[in-house]
Amino acid sequence: MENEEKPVMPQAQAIFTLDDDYSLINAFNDGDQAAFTRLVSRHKEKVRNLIYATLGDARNVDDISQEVFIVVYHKLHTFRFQSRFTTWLYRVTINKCRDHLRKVKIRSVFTYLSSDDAEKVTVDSPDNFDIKVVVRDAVNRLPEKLRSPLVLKDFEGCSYEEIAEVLDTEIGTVKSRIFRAREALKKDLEPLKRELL
Amino acid sequence: MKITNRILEKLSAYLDGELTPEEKFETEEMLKSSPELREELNKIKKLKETVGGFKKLPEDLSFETRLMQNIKTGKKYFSKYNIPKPAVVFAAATIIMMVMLKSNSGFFEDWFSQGRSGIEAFYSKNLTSLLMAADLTNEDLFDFAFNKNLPLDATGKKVLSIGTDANGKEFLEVKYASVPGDGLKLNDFVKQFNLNKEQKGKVDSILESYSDRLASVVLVNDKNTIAVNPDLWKYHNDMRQDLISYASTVNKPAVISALGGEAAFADFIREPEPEAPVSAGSRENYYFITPDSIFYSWAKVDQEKIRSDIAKVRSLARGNSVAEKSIKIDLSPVFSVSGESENHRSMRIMVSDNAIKVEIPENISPLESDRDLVSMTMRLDSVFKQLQKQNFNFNVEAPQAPGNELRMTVKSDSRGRTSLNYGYDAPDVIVMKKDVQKKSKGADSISALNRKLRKYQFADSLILPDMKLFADSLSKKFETDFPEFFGPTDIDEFLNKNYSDSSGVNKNQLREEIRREMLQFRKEMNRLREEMKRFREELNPDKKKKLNEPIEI
Repeated sequence: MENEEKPVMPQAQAIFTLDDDYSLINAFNDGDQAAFTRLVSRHKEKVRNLIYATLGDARNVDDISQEVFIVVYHKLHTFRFQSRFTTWLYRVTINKCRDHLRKVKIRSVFTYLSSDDAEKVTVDSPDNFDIKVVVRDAVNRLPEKLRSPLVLKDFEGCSYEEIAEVLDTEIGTVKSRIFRAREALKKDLEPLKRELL
Repeated sequence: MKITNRILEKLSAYLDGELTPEEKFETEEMLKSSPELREELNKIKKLKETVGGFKKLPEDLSFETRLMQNIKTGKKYFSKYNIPKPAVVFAAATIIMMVMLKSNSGFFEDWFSQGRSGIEAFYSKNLTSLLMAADLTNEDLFDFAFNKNLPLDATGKKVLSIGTDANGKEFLEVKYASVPGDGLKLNDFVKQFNLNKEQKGKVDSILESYSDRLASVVLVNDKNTIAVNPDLWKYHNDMRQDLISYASTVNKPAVISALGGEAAFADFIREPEPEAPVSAGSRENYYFITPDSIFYSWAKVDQEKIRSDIAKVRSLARGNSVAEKSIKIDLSPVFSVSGESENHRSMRIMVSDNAIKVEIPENISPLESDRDLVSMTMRLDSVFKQLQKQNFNFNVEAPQAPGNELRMTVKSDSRGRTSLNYGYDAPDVIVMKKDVQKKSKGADSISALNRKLRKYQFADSLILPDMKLFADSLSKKFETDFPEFFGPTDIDEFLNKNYSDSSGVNKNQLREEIRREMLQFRKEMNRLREEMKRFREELNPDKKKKLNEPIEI
């Protein structure tokens, strides 16, 4: 009963991807600019969607994803080929998202907007709502440290080990945070359990 | 089966395919036997599917082009959303202000004066008498006359206090009474001058006559304002003078003695004027202490209404608690910044944990123009100190040299002579005896000591608060007040002085004995102090805890 279909990354393809990313990186490090563009094309959508899922907000996706790849461009020579490129890339992405969230948090002290926005999220008419939007809002309300592992697992399909590497933490911590994220969502979505769960 | 968090966590990892084969098997066995667990699994699965199915963004086809452009133009680690907006806002505001000030230099002045008159109007509405709100008794009024405290609440824990600082500058204080009930009491006064019942009644009527006048001198309202008329200082002095003058008509010798002689007495005496027409409020200016500012301004006060209010309060039987207006005053967050502005009418405000102190600037000080009144006030203060009870004896069980008992006695007689006896009560006793002529300094010390001691009064005995060891703390304690009293301050000196080498006493043995005794004594004193502390806490259970609460009137 555990077998859900996941289109993302079957094992065989993953190995192929690994090799392919590695050769593109090597080519770029040897001065091939086109290799970098190909690397970007392969991963830009994953990065953009990861940012979207992590921030729950499309407004800053473009800026942040551009910034992620600018960092990749300048730092790719430091990549050690000890993990998948995506793990490294996701790490950069999550860090950029965290930077952004930190800034937003500081700014919200001045604008007082964030709390109002949070209020608006509540669903008033059960006939007229999109469950995915409601769940997305609920995910957005999770603290970042619970949200990121959940998104990396369920949205990006990363393994616990990869997530641990992206977030620079232990596998046990990842396991526990994903569990806590799900428990929090269940609790948050309790009023909608008939429609949702 | 009880579904624990541990099981649920495993279930979550099972769904993610992250269990070891053994754990996976174990979980599947549990799932088979538990429908609840299967339901839980189902919930998590649906959540996982929903999150996994989040809508993706439409593909960005020009992403690479823009990226390469950004890299080429050297855009590195920043983008437009990075600019801290508050900084931009402040910068803009600063520029606007600078432009405004340049073109209209009177802007701030107008702005402040407008704001000020608005504040004044707001806080000076509906003022009513503090006496109405706190239901002051004659004891309270007496306390004000002699101890400068007006209670701001029924329990007397929070007080409005007037005083003079080291530089002779008057100040107002809103604070928590340090020791409830400390200071000269109406009863002490009656006792000191042997007033009979009828005479006591006269004292009461003097106090009551002032309560009418004071009624419009300290005002409060529902906006958390305390308004104080400068007449408060005048009444403070008048009350004391009237009371002392009256006492002198009854028991002149005692008053003269208390004041320290005929000449001093002649200075103080004045005709009591309890029948004088009530003229309170003739000066309409008040110091306003409000939750967001302190200012000096006039207020319109309906004297008639206040008087009738008070009459109403009086007509209700004493003892029935008058329905009090509960006014919360929380000044602490407001006055955390102290300082003098160039505006001379502003007052310096000092805030500490339990007090807010407002210094009154010289040019509006009520006593500024009246030097006589200042000196009078000071002399009356010293009289007040002298009036405090000074007769007390106490015996301290102290470390004993074999056969010797330490005794300490402080006496003061009605003629104002104070003496302290201290020493070992034994055949070869050293008695340190010193008569203290009652000069103001000596009287101060004795009364200060007395006040300290009275805090520790337990039944009929008086216990010195922090006496630990004769050799150190005790001697130090007294050094300040009576330095000459002390002969031996350590054991060896004591032994050498009392036992000559030829006396045949084993000094080492004696020294050890004394040490042991001292140690025992120190322990017992500590125990006693603990008991006293507990006892005091029982007496005043809530004395400590609410220091930071808003002041309630």
